[in-house]
Amino acid sequence: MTVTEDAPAPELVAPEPSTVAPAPAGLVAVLASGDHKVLGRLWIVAALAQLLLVLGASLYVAAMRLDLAGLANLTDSSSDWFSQIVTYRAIGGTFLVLLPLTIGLATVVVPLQVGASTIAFPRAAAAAVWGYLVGSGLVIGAYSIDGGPFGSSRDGIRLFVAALALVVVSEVLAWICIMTTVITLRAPGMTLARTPLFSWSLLIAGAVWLLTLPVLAAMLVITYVFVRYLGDDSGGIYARISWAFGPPAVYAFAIPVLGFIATVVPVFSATRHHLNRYARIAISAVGALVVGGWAIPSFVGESTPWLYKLPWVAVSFLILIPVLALVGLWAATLRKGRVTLASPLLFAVASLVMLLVGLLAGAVQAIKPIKTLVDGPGSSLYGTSWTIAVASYVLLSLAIALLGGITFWAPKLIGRSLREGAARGVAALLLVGTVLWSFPDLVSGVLGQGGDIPGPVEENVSTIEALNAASLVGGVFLALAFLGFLSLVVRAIGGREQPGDDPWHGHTLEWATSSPPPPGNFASLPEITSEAPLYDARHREASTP
Amino acid sequence: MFTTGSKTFLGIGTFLLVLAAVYGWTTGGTGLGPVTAGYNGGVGDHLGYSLLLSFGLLAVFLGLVAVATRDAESSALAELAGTESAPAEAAPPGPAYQPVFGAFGAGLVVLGLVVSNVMFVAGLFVLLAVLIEWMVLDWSDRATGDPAANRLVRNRLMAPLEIPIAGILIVGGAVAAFSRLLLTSSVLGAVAVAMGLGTLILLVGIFFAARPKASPNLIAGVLVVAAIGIGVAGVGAAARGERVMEEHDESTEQDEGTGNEVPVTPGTNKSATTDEAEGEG
Repeated sequence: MTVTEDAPAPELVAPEPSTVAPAPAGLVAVLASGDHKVLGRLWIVAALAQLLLVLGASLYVAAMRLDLAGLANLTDSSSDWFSQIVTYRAIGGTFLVLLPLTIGLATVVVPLQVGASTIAFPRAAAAAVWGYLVGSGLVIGAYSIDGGPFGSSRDGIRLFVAALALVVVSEVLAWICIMTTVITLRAPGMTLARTPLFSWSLLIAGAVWLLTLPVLAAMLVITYVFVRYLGDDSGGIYARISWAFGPPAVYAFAIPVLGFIATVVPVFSATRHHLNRYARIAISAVGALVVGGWAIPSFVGESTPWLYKLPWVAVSFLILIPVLALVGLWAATLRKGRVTLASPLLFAVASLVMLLVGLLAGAVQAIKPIKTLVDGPGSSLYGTSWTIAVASYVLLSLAIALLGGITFWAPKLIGRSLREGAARGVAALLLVGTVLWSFPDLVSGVLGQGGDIPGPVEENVSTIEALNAASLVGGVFLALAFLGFLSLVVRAIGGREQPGDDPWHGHTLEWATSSPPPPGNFASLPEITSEAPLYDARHREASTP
Repeated sequence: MFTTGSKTFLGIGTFLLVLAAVYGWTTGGTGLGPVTAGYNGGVGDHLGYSLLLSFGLLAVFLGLVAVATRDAESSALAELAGTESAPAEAAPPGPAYQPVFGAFGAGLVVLGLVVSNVMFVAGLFVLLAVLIEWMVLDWSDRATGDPAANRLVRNRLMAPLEIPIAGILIVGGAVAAFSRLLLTSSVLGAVAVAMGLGTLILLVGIFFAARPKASPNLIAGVLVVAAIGIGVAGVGAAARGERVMEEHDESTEQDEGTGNEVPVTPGTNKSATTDEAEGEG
């Protein structure tokens, strides 16, 4: 007789608990990764690739402005190609390049700075980056079939609106992950008051974007409905989007700049940030002020003009107070310490100068009596190329800060350092390029040149054309700087020189792990008793007999 | 009791609530309206009052959350949990394809809005599948403290569903793509495509049969490339459309033939034609 036994139930034996899974390799390491460093790199690489397209579009627009008479023909109703490129330059530059680049750097750096082994909701963070990649590809696809704002392909326009909504939703998701990391995954001992200032600035910037981007997404949904069911034309689309990168909403892009400078200045002064707590309050104040993105002049309702004009004027001036306070704190920090003029500090100084000029120009355009020099009573500076210059200064200050951030955190991002001398050259070129690119637009705005899509100019034509030529030269400088920076990164990746764990003698936790950091980020963390735990640790060691 | 974060939010909240009340009274509020949210009197300007009140209440709520979680400080969480040390931080998760498939699904939905309803619905199905997979994965991540055991738990639940569905989708997709490819080619081209692909599959099979130690990654890579290739070719072929098929009219064929050979069915046109032909003859 055969005895049959029931097959033994398979045991679910749990091996020794291991909190950190081994890093996957090959394609899986990219497609299926939830590691914040991989995701951050994806954001950065994709954004830099988009940057090349935006650069091309910007140079094209700048070149077209050399001939104002020809430009008037280009912008008439029979041709929408030029107008579409103008809108791509602005929309692509903000939502496909600068915001993703900020998110990418934040995705890599924030978990390291707060001493976390992972980003919060890592799979949502992965969904955000893939959503952005798919959405941005579709946005470009829509432009390529004549579907951007002012386009003539109705299917293309619908695709553009839906794809941009996907990009915006992905960016909201990414900000939620970054903010949650700062709020909930800080290492033991790191109170909110001890959070590194870069992470703090991203928490504030994230809060602003969390209030702003869903409004933009809702606006896009409404636009889709208008285009799809009510036969709305494509001309109104740009107005429903462009408020998000016009003053004062554009000042939201300045918040990470402040965080970057506040991180770099103490490191290269080899001292603590002077009155760290007040720097935190000042950055928060900037965040609180730029939430008034709705308060822009083009929203003025006839029944309640004060509701829009008054906050707009107030924000344009008040925002200078916390920024100037920060400048004072940084000056005190530099004065207190021993300054090393390394490339990240040069990037920080360049971005700060450009930001200050942008904010001052923003305040000037809010002064009602200051008008253009057009014959007759003149008209408001708002809406001329002056407004474009304000946005350019602020956005380019962010671009400079982000490239500075990549230079500073390169050891953690790619495991290599960029060449110091060349990086300094790039910082200087960016500064010159930004001035040449934006300052002529301030002057031509006073002379009456129109904004985003300039209309016909009847006075001072030759002067404005000369200023536009100077602006084009600035654009070429900027393009050379960006391309030079990309080549620096590529060369560094191909290089063999190891930068060490803490090449800059940093103050915050990201420098307490290896370069690049391993899966799980930290083997152990130092004691955290202030906002600069590594600085504390070094000084404890130095004072120990 | 009050942490740094809670003090910040509660301070902002109190300030905004006081501001809302003052604003209410200065813009025409009556009685206790501005402090009772309009229950006992007017609130003045509705828009400004509502904005200030909403942001004030939101800040107070966030302040209370910060009090309850002690600013989410891990040492405070340990104290709340009654343990000596802080709770273990969440481990970095293992690889997961759900996010990339989710983005692909979202892309299909966006494209489907413009291109076709079928694509839109397909995108929704992909998103639904991703949602279910994601929920199960998230649940299994917390099943035990060990990632390998968690994967086992997840696979036991999902593999009996995933493998047949994936099989149907892959085979169905390949058959559909292959049929589109054959239908878009000319008659001779279809024969050539079928023979060429068959030969290619045979050669690849021979190649791997001769190398039993070939890397699984290589095999997977070849299969992925083949799947993408046939998928792209199928989509391209579907977009191009089927070749022009020659319509064969049976009655014409029969007329052109001997006529008498056709079986005659009384009462049909064909029989009438045949009868007429016979009568004329």
